[in-house]
Amino acid sequence: MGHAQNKDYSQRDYDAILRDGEELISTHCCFCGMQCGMNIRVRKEDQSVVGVEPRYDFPMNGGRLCPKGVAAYRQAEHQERILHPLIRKNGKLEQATWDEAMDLIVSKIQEIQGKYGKDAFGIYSGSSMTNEKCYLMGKFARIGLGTKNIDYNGRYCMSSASVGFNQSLGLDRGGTNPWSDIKFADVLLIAGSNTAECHPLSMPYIWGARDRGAKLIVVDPRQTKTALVADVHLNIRPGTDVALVNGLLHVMIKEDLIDKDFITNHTTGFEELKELVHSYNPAYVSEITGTAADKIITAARIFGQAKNGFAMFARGVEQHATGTDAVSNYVNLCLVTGKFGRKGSGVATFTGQGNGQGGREHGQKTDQLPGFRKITDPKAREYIAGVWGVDESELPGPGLSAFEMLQSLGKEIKGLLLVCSNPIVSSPTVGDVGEYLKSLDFFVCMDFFLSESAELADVVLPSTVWIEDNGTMTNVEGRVLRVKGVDRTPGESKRDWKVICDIAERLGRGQYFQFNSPEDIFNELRVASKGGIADYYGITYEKLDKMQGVFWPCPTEESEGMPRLFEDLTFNFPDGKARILAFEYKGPNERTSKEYPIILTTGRVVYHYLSGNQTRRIDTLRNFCPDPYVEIHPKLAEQYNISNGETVKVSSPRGSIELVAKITKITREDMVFVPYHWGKSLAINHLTNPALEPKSKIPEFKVCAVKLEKIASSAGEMHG
Amino acid sequence: MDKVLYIDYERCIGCRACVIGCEECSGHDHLSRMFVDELNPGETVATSPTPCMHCVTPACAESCPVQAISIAADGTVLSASMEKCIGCKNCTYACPFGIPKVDDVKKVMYKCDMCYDRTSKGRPPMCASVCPTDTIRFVDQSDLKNDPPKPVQFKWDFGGTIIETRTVIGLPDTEENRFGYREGDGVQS
Amino acid sequence: MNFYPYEEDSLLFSKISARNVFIVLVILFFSVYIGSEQFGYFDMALYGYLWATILCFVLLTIRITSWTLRPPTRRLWKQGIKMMFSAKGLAFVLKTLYTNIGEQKFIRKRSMYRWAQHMFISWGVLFSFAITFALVLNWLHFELVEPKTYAAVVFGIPLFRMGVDSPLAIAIYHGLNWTGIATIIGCGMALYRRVTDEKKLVEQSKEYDFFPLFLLIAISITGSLLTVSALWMEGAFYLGIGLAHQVTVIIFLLYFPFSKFWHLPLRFLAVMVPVYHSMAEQKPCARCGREYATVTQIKDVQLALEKRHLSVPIEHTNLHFSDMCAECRRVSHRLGGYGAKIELGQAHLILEPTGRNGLQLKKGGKQ
Ligand code: HEM
Ligand code: SF4
Ligand code: SF4
Ligand code: SF4
Repeated sequence: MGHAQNKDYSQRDYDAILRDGEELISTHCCFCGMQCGMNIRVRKEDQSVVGVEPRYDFPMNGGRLCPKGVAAYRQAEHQERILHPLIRKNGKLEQATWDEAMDLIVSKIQEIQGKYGKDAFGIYSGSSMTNEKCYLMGKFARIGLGTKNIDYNGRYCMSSASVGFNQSLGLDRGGTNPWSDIKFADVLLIAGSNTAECHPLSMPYIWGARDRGAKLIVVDPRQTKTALVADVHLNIRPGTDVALVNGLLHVMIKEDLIDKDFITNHTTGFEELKELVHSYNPAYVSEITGTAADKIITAARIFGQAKNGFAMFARGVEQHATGTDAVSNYVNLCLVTGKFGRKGSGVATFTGQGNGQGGREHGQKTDQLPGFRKITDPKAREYIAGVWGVDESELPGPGLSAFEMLQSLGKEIKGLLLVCSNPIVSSPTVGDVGEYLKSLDFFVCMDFFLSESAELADVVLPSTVWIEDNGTMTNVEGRVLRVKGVDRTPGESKRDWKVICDIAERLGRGQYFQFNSPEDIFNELRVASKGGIADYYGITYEKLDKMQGVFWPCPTEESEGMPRLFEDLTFNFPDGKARILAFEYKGPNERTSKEYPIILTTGRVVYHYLSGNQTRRIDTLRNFCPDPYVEIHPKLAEQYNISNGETVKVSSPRGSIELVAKITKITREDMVFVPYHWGKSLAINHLTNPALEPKSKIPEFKVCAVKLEKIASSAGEMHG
Repeated sequence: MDKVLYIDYERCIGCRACVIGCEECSGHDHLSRMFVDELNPGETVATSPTPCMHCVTPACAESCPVQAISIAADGTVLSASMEKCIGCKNCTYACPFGIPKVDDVKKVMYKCDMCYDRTSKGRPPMCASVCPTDTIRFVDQSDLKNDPPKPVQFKWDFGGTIIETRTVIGLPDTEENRFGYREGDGVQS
Repeated sequence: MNFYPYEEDSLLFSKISARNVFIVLVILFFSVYIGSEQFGYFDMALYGYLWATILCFVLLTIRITSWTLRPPTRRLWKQGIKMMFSAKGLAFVLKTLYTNIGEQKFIRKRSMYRWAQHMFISWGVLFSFAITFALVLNWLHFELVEPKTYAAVVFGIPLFRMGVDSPLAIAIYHGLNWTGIATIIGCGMALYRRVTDEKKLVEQSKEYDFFPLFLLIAISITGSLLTVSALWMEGAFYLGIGLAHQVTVIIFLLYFPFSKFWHLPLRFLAVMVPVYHSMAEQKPCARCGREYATVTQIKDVQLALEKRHLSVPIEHTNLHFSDMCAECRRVSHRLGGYGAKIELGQAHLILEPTGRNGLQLKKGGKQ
């Protein structure tokens, strides 16, 4: 049944139930890079969305869903949806007509760009939307507005992995292998990822491997649900990954657990690495990481001795001032032991956002053009200008990265279009970000709920939820998928791609934006990505339906994509060899001090998605986790005389918030953990460190120094 | 084929997808009948789901003063009949596994009925359909009971009272102490 | 179903039933005797109904006896009656009687539609019952005392008079038509819900489901047709319709104690429940200490289970699983599965698994 590429996945042999008077829209979850398949139940009579029905035949998840997935449809009929354009009048957002709103937007764009130059209008977009929309945002910025300043929230999410993969392998696809390969690993090393909560649908694959006898090594400061079932849990101090991996490499090299043939034939740089890790003996590494030396040795032996295995990681490794180093170092584990290009061997990063993969491929990154092309590469510019029908000189160069862009608001950038993102919750130093946004001359935002960021906008445009549109997404594996929607736009809401085309029309750039459907956009994207690294040329909507998704690269009409990369062990460099890069441990940007003696790390819970703008509004999800909290180890709590449920003030040099204490042994004694899905006074990002990783420009969300104070009064207004 | 619920709870990640999924079954009036409990908060993140065990001799039904709880032909113990149940809560106390719930306002008991609407059509219940980690599975009863993949519980001896259940619980691997909650451990550095 | 048989004196049930049936028959006889003024007024047209009614009463008595003999039922009745001896308890019960049976508020909370539907059916049928029984058993009859005036005679006592054509007389005379119409509306609503909400509620859609509704409609329609025939059709088909009506009513009367309609007597036990829950001492969970039940009810449940050989004790302690709240019961099983110790904070005991999937006191587990 189904296409051969899907053979080893976890689909199940049942049919969905179709109830009387309803139809099923087979689509995908909007809430993470797993892109689980689901059926949305729609009442035929009035096209209302009434529920979800498992899609047992979809390979990736076989009908299984996490709580976000089950509840996702509840956004559609949500009463807080924005149904009319809003314009700020006398300081308040008031209902307006589309004409008023569009007139205002266009006149403001023209005014600002006329006065301060094209680049003074920026676009801050997101990665939870379809490839079509992501592509369109990039194109609209470059030749609709003519601005170089476009970047997206994936900068906070996937950028370190992207740089790391590119510098080590010459290519960035989240997973080098189809997810079903995980089942055939002998060892899984999962670092900085609470897979169980953040990518729950990877668990059947991990258990699949375990059922075959695979070992599981988890690197995480907390004993998460993932770490709880590990054979070895390396509960390192946050931000010490580079040292840990150097230690693992040290042991593997010393005990000769490496694949010398692979190293000589398919890599460069091993000697430098060998020399550098020489000093990282287990005792030394144990001291840096705060995890026992014998556990490090055991982990290294398990990983080194296994024939097949994966190194997998996520934001815990990437959101650091040395995030790209850490990514490449984890890749080194597989390079040194020759775990590449086979069923059961490879590397992967767990893509956070719904379209974290596709969103970083097609040109909404400021330094990039569609198909993973560099915007500074003359050949790439020539090609894309040709596809778009403009002169190469019309294409702007690279602009500011996401956080830098926010910092320059009101200065270099006077006007901003915000799409599919909520930076005032998700950025570091959110207090300042609010000030940046307020200093704009003009701020327009598109969303279907009034996010914390949208509340500050001058114009808010109502867009549709994900199941009210068509398009494609690219999942954690690099599999392009077809997302289908209900044909409706409640109230006066409009699909965002349509709005962008309208604005372009009004700006007199309409000839470049003649799209009547997402498929039109996709067909242009195919051509634009042709010959690039992420080559979608051979992918059609029809093929996506037939094969339940296609893995890129898929360069020709005949091609059926490439589920497993590097099978010929040729990496994407001119000499075909992967780069083994060596990194000295530098540690996090901010160290603990006498005044701020404790490490703060942040993360997610299973019930919420990113800034929580969607999931906090869904009753069931909110009820399961209504407010943020601070996890404190009993020993640390004892020092401050804090008991469970009491209110604690957590402060860093940048800000403070008050939280309820959750005393638990699952965390380390030298750190605290706070989930980040809340805004305003509940936003932990008041405290986080905006230090950027030099190559990927990702802020160091995962480590900063804080102090704790117990306070007597209650935590004030909690509004979930 | 006679299929039953199998709960392999060391795999549970406490996400409560099953709890929300349960609301989605057409016979359930958007009231969830599934439980997910934290086993020892503060010590561990270990959790476990509990659906009805579908006892062969259900204590809930035996304790009901109005005989509101009936058993379907396939052995599924159903929710109380809407017109009979008087909301007295005897069943909630009698059940050795802590399953039935009573809505105090609507005055009616509701409990897991294995998504009768789905299972009667050969589809897995919602919890087993959505569970992202395969903690909850819908498997052939005789295979599971005669040839279990690991030690399981489906015959319970409470001081001489033998209660046999259709639902099967898979026990954690404590022998090798490999996975899951180990008492008193906390995180070792 | 694999229930254990009752092990109480097997003759007990027959003995008590026989006694109860005898009492009911005696009461019936005397009520008819008085109502018909020593069998003076006897409407022979209602003869068939009379026997069916008597049989229905007998069956109902046996059914109720068997029901109340079940240990949990008997406990609850006794507890309820005991509580009614206090003024507070009685007031409580009377109030519940009104909200629960009278306005049936709890059904309204389930759904407005179902409430409206059920108010039509239940009150339609209850008033029909009342009028029918009263007439059939001759508790009530009308006497023409003056050419244009009726006297309503209840148990032989003339209660009031009214003009033959007075609105009151018409309302009363056609009482059965009004209640019949209400019943038809209610049943229509129920049927409509059956079709639209198809299989929404499993417990509701099994066995005896359409039949009772059709039966009620058949009774009401044949009954109304009698009036139509008499008023507008000069008595055409009267006999045939009358026979059909009689047959449906008799079926109903005999079917009543064993069907969907059986819930009517059950509902009277519901009246005891709020009192039962609120007027006794609250009981804390043996593990977590949260109050989750009343001391009396836990004892009653344990007793009921014991009678059925279904006790669920925690071995080597005098506790049962029902001494813990539902959540602690669930968690304890799982902790047992992990081989972890289970601390009953409230009872100061530590438990461990028995190895037979139950729980027992851990060695030295008394604190
Ligand atoms: C006055 C005392 C009565 C009470 C408290 C009572 C209570 C109930 C309750 C709670 C239900 C379930 C309703 C729901 O949740 O949808 C029900 C259903 C029903 N009752 Fe009664 N009942 C009473 C009298 C009667 C009588 C006298 C009749 C007619 C003989 C009757 C006929 C029905 C029928 C036919 C249903 C099924 C409705 C359906 O399934 O849609 N009830 N009753
Ligand atoms: S795992 Fe991700 S894609 Fe799957 S249901 Fe959950 S949030 Fe959605
Ligand atoms: S587990 Fe409890 S609710 Fe389920 S059948 Fe057994 S006694 Fe009844
Ligand atoms: S609550 Fe309802 S189902 Fe439970 S014992 Fe009481 S009457 Fe029976």
